[in-house]
Amino acid sequence: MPNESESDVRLSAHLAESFAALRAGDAQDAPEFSAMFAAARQQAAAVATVQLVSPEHTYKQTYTMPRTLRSQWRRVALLVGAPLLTAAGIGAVWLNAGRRAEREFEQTVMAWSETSRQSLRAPTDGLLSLPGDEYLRSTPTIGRGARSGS
Amino acid sequence: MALPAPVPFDLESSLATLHEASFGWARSCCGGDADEGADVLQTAYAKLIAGQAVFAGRSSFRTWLFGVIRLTALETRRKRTRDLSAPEWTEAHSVEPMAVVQLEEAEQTATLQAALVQLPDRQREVVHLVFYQGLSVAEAADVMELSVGSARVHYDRAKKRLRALLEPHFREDR
Repeated sequence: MPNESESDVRLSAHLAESFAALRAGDAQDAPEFSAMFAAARQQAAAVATVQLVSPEHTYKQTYTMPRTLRSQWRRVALLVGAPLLTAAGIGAVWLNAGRRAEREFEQTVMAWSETSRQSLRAPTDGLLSLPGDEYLRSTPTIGRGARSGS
Repeated sequence: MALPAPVPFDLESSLATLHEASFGWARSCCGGDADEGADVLQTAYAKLIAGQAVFAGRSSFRTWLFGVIRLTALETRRKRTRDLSAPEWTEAHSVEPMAVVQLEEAEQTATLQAALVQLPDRQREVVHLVFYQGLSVAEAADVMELSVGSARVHYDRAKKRLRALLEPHFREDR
């Protein structure tokens, strides 16, 4: 059995031979240069025309380049639009999360306020309201009436 | 003292010199499809004429041109993949078998094509550039926009794979 390098050499020789055959086949199949270059000139001229006129009016008037242009426009729109949309989405989620926390806090405060208000209005509270009890809850100032407070 | 006028770069004659090699490379970049390879090559020429790609002289003209052709083929392939969903494309370009069928006239070539089709893109590209175009691995790396080390890895893997695929054939050659 041949060693690695010998096999490698034979493979390289085989590849060189096969690629030479492939190259010969390609040389026969290759289109004529002058015809292709002339066609390429026309194609390039079409590109220049498309670049001068606004894309909306030229998409359907030329044959190959509009697609390229359209794809370029799409790419630009995607490159600009995608980050903006992502930022807008993140902002909306962030704002909504903040508002939700505020709403939850307000609801909790309201619930506690309601509870405390109800506990202050017990049914027997009326029994503690006696005439003149405001004198007991305030300190009269010398020289002023307790009722006027001024 | 006035500097000598720069020698004008003759694009047309430079392209004409490399036309057959460029076609072979374009075809290889299109999976062996001759028609698609010709379309890609023409589009690459149009880019050069329109000034969308300008040779700056940082590498050899051939290396640079092959890079332009490769990128054009990649663009075409991306566009084709995107348009695959469009019904008019599938009608107009019904999927044909690979060019192996067209190369039945030469068994050796067909065998090689069949083996190349089984290689990943990078491996196929580096093998083509080295064995078909006669570039060094470093030049191939330049065309493929890779480091030389990466290109060397792709080259070694490609040869290993090709050895497995072609061994029965080149054993018969002895």
